[in-house]
Amino acid sequence: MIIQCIFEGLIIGSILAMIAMGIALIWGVMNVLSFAQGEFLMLGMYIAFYLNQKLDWDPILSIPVTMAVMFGLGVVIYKVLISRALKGPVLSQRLITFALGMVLANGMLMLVSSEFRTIKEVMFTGTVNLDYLVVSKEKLVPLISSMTITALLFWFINKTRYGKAIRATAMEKDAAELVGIDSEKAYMIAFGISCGVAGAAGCILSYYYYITPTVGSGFLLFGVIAVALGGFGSIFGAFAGGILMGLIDVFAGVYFNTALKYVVVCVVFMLIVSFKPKGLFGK
Amino acid sequence: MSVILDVRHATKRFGGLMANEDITFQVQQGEVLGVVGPNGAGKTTLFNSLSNFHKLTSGEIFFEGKRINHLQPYQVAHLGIARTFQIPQAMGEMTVYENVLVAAMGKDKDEKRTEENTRLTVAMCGLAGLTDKMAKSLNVMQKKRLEIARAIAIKPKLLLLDETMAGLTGVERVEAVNLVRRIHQMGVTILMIEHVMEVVMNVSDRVMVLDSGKVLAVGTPEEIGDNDDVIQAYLGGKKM
Amino acid sequence: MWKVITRDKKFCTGFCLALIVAMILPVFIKKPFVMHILILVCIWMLLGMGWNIIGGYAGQISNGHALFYGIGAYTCGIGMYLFKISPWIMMWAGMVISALTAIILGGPLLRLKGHYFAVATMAAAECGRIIFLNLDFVGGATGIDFLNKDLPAWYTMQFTEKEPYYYIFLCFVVIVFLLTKVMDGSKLGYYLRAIKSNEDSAQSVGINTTKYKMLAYIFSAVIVSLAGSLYANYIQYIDPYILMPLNISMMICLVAVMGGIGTVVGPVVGAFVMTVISEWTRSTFASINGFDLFIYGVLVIVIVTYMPGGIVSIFNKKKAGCEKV
Repeated sequence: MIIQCIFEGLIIGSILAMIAMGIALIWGVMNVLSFAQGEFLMLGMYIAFYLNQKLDWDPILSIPVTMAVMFGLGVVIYKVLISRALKGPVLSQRLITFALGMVLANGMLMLVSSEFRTIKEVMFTGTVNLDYLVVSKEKLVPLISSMTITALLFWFINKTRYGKAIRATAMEKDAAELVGIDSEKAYMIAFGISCGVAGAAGCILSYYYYITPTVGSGFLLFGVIAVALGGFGSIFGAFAGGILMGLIDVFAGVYFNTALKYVVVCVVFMLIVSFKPKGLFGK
Repeated sequence: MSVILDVRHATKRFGGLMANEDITFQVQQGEVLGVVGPNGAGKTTLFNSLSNFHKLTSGEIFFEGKRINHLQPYQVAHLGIARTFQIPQAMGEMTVYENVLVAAMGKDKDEKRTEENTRLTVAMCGLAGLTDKMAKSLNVMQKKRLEIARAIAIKPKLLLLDETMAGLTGVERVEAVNLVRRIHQMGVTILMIEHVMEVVMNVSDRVMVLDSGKVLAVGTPEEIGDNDDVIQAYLGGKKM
Repeated sequence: MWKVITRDKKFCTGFCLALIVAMILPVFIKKPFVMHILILVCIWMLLGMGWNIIGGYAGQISNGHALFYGIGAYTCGIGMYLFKISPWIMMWAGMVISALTAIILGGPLLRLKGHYFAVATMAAAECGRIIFLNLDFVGGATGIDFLNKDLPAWYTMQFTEKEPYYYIFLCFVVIVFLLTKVMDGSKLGYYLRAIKSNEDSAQSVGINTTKYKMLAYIFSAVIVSLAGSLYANYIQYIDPYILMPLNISMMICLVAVMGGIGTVVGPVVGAFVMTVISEWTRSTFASINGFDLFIYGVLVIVIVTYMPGGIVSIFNKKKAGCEKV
């Protein structure tokens, strides 16, 4: 039973972690708390949905395309909106991302209706039976996919030139510029990646979750909490925070009270952050 | 002459770094004690400890006979210790007048007296023409004066000045020294961190030399100038 | 204390004029829809002014004030529905509960800075929403309708016409507005602005930053709670979805930011503009699902991007410009 819970927790947690890492990237690099991340997730879900409808693509296979599209969207949004917002006060930046989320969610609502949709057929169905654990492929595949994307993200941030440039800009913008890093470009790429990751999370989530324009807001809140839990802009912290929250979610639901499990999550968060004001891993 | 500040075995550690180690000294009421030492010697850390902006790792601080280790910074200010910050921490979104007013408010409930105290302090620090300017739009010299104005507006008994002279030119420096002297004449005990040696030697009654977190020597300017250890560590082998 | 107001002649004349206009306005308005907008404007003015104390003056940006709004609304709803207690009494209960909640939350949370504080307030608001969602005795997800026709209208604060609501809410708006103006010129006002500007500096001049931040948080919670209580009585219905925490919380911030954060008049102006825009878009574009909020979102982006200081800052710039000439 416990192992089943851990498994379930990891699935939810890994998706939450992906959203959280996207938020952490923007928080860490530009110090903006982006409230539009849930909507980028939602857009990813719809892209996966339509590719599935029209071309019979399995959502997991749609990930590369989705990530590319969302990356492009992220870059455009950065250039048009975020770069200007950065010059203003912090609260205005949040309000702008919040309003952006509203525009995306309602824009989507206008284009499609609000009825819930689901992916009709996925490629990997059936179950895998391990001794102590029965695992449905519909849940295993998302888990593996999100772990893969996470690993790719870590690789990108830590090993590639662009990733290192972004990290340098995040830590010390002026110093980074002095050594020739174009901080605007770094910000732009960071924002694009965070959208891409959210889009990928959307594809993965669509495997077993319903799709509707307003699906983003629930995930946003917990994504944001996961990031704060992990600590300032730390991508690893956000990852850990997301996984932790997924686990708390499932365990609280099973052992405590399904209805109030989110209260448990929030209270645990508030307790942790009271004792560690900069998050578990914050500097 | 009584002891206004009594520091015993003050030690401050940041993780593995020992910023202040076993620092013991006393400040006589009404004197000017210069605090000198190379960069990284632990001078500002000491000030932060004295004003309780961080807690000492070990050791005790007595102000006017009362132990003040456990107090919040604002309580230390109320007791009568004022400080300036090395990098001026002006309240940028408020005017010069408001910056000083806010400090004066804490001391006096009477509105008229508070306003008068503010005006006098502003004038004394040479900021009279700038009262309506936003603090964030001041230049460095003006910000430093504002630092001092805010500090003396709370009518302190002990004033901690952190590198007030840094970056000042000849005329500005003379004015700053005059201001410090006027404050001293009002009866305020002064601890001043300085790098500009001629200022320290001319203004201080005594000088304390810090090096690598420890007290190297304490004495009159002449004694310090003649002290071999100090010359070796700090003055580079040359006699003052 | 009141000297602060009387000394400012410009403020006095402006305020009196606005008050007179506000009081005789209903006489000229025939359409109930316009009255409805004015009533909502009053509610949002209260919300904005309340939030402004902690967010605008003290600089602690809370994105979770919907919690107190909900507490205010639910205490009145529960009081009337279960116990038939008048909202005139229950609103005070709501304010007390909100104040206590603020104290309990504020203790640990006010130590947090920036994004961390914002996220923690969001988490707190979410807790509130889930708890309300699961309170079966007040209808849980479906909420309750506490319309009561048996008791007299002045007792239940449930009127059939809109005018009484408007005048009652206007009274509260005036009171809170004047209190804000007094606070602005008082020691509390200065201290909060000092804390917002530079907390270390504030500490070094003897300001007990913890105490004042807590006071600001409590006052803001109480005023927002009041607004929730009044609104609940206006619509005679409560449910957790009306509260929709992040949306409401962000819109509360928006009101103050649009008008001019940290100013006395800002939230009032912002509430007016924001409510008019949102109600206009809602009624005009009601046919297409989502269009109204879409337009609203776009307008918010435009206004916040190009007027970071709020609408009030335009007038301040004009004043400064004139002075130069």
